[in-house]
Amino acid sequence: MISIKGEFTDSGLRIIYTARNSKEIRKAFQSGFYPLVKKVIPSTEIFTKYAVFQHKETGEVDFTSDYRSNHDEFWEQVIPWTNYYPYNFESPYAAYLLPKDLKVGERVLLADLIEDIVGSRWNQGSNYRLESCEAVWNGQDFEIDFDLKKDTSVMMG
Amino acid sequence: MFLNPIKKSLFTESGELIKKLDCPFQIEWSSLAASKDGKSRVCSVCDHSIVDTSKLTEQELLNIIKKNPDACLKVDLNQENIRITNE
Repeated sequence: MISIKGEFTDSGLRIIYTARNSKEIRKAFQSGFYPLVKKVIPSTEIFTKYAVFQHKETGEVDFTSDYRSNHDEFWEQVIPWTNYYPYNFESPYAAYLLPKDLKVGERVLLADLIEDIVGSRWNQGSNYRLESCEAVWNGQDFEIDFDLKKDTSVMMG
Repeated sequence: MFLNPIKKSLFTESGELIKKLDCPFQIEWSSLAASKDGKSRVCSVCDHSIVDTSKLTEQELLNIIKKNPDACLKVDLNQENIRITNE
């Protein structure tokens, strides 16, 4: 989870946190939040890749995820390039924790996005998930405000 | 240097953590103003300086973070001086 804290961002956006298991969801409800529960559904668009090489003489193993990794003739590819979904979530459901005074039309920061949205793309084919973003509360759900066209391969922090 | 895009962390070749790239905001690099010395850009949200890592060595980055732990880093997945890792 993103390491942000507090009730509001420096720019004044309310921060909406996510509970990732039943215990956290119940506890938040008892603390006065309304849990907006959603399924955690992995996107087929989000994946990365790996391959495994092993040294023919020593048995040393090298795990790689970048085609630019160099392996000479002494290394044998024991697992070919394989795509996989690289994230793990503890429960198949999660909940945005809504403060009771959240207003329709209010812009917020979702600190830990439940929806699986592509946040960045690498030119070797991998796509990584968006972890947090701004959104607007429409009274029923959050309308996520994210434009993948912007700096799709850039990470900052 | 190694970048783990899943954990959003930048490491040295020897595995030392340089910085976790955990900015929650969608900031467009090209829209940010350059700092006075031209070596970084100024974040439009929190005023931290953001350093472009594409032409720096891992030692230079470690020195920058040691000197200013609040400095942010900008890493492009496609830049030449990094390798991507899932570990």
